[in-house]
Amino acid sequence: MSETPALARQPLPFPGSHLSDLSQPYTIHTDVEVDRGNSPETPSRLTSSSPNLSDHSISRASDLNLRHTIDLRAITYDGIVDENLVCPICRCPFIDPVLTDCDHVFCRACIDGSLSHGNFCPIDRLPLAEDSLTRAPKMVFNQLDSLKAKCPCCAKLLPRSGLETHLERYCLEAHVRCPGFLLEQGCSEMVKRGVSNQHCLHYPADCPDCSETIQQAEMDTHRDTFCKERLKPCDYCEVEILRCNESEHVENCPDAVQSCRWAEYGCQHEAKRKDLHLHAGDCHFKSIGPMAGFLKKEINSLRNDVQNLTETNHLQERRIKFLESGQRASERPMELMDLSLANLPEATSADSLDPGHDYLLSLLETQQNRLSHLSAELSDFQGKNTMMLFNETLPLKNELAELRSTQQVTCMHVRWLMRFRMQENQRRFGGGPGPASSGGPEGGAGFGGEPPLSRRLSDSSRDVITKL
Amino acid sequence: MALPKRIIKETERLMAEPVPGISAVPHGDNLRYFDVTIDGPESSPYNHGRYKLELFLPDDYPMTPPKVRFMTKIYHPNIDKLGRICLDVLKSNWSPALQIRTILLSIQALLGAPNPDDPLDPNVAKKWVDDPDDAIREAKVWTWKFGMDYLGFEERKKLRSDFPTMAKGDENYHRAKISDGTT
Ligand SMILES: [Zn+2]
Ligand SMILES: [Zn+2]
Ligand SMILES: [Zn+2]
Ligand SMILES: [Zn+2]
Ligand SMILES: [Zn+2]
Ligand SMILES: [Zn+2]
Ligand SMILES: [Zn+2]
Repeated sequence: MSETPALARQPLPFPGSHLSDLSQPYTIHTDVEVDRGNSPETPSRLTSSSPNLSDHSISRASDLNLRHTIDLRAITYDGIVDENLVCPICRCPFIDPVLTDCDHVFCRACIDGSLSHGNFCPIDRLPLAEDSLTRAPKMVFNQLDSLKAKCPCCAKLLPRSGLETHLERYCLEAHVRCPGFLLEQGCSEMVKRGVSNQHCLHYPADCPDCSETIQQAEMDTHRDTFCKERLKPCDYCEVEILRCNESEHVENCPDAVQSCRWAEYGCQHEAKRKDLHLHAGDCHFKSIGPMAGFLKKEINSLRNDVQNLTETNHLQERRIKFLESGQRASERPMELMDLSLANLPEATSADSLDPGHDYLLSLLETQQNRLSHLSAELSDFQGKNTMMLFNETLPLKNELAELRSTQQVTCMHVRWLMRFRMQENQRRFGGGPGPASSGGPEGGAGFGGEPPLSRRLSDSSRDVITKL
Repeated sequence: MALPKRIIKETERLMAEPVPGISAVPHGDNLRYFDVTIDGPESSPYNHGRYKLELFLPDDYPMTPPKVRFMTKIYHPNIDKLGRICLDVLKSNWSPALQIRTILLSIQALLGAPNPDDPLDPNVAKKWVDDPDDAIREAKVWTWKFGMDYLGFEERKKLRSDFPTMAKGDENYHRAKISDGTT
């Protein structure tokens, strides 16, 4: 038995981490109704507490139930399911299991699919005919029926065989017809069973604020977030504004708090938007700010230039080496193969450079001059600001150091956990009680021929070739 | 088309319990498409190499095998220029009970045990039979050239002495060289 560690069911650390939500585990059939609920457990709450339904009998209340079909492969089972009950093809607990002559069990649908691609057992590759399949022993069915699974609506744990009845008759989170279905106008909407004792709210109503016509059931949401007429006072200036425009207003509200325009370069001043101009004159950053902004732009454009040049340079370097290797390969074939830059200086000083390379070199030189000019300017400015920046960055540095140490501790934890996991894996790789030949990680799955698979040596005809 | 539970489970397990030396990460926008890397086995000429592969699960997976292809160039008698792999379990010997991880393990094993009797690239296979030492040397050169981009310059330098350099006379010299010069 291979037990899947708890981590396997935790959220995945990649963009598709919503994987488990991809398949809807049940379907509702609105055209078919569940047979009259004659079960004694039918909750009488539905009828007694609902004035709308008080004149209908209990069996009328069950008319609201809808037929549900559950995809047993898409639901979540409780804990780790016994590997012996898991189909080797769909990797889910068996659904309608069948037994082969070679004593292997599969879902009927799964083995049917497999047989349509070849008449052999997927596990031992013994010949297998469709009519030789027999129903799995009763015991297997009983074990499967008692597997606990989560209700896809209310997440309650129930034996999987009882899930459908639960959804159709009892689950408070499952959908039933709106109580209005029983009234004259015959509402065709669905509501959750838990609120089915309320009146039908699926009638058009006018919003008291904007007098737009909406379904009564959606009125609360409309009034809170969508209504175009409903006002509320602004948190800052107390002017009445539209609820739906609140975020836009706050961005321009004269009373909303805003930080100084030079906040990016260190000013920590904050004031109401309308008072900010008073600070502008006093701001210690007013002279440095524009300069810093300008330098930032300059540095960025320089960085781009340098990157472009490095790329061009790199390309040329490769081309030069490639050309040289053609000419002089016989002299020194070894070094030239190396991708390292070690032999670059030699390559550039080579005498046989054509005009194209000369041009590039002169380009490089001009850029270098420009660079040194600018860096001189920069260091000038840096001298003036070093002290100030030092003061500004000191707390940041401390914070960084603290973060770094936190990160190291986390790293240590992760490494410890990884080692633990690797040991766990090794233990299972080595000691899985797999059958006969298998000692691989899938040992528990009861599959004898698993990793690494031996290759078929005999048939070497070209049709074996994998075409993509 | 909804993603079958089996693919979800296999993916979850690949992420939660990765096979040592193998990684497979699904694309965010197509969960049937995986970016795979396989590390060359230690005792093979592909040691220290890390090979990129693409793996695609067709609509009727697991009834039909996944489609796998090497994206990194490799000198191997059962893998051709286009990265196609000659491996029986990827074709006629596929079984729906096999999984992505077993397939990737088989491919890793194929790197450790090339089979020139069932070749995909006849030239490479012939070399492998006629002059195994030279074939292995060639495979190492290719590993150095194409399979070690994931390492930093310093790490590569440390390993340089483990790898032979390619001689000019080699039939693949120009092929390898040109593809390098144009990238
Ligand atoms: Zn069998
Ligand atoms: Zn199955
Ligand atoms: Zn429920
Ligand atoms: Zn209604
Ligand atoms: Zn309104
Ligand atoms: Zn305001
Ligand atoms: Zn300021």
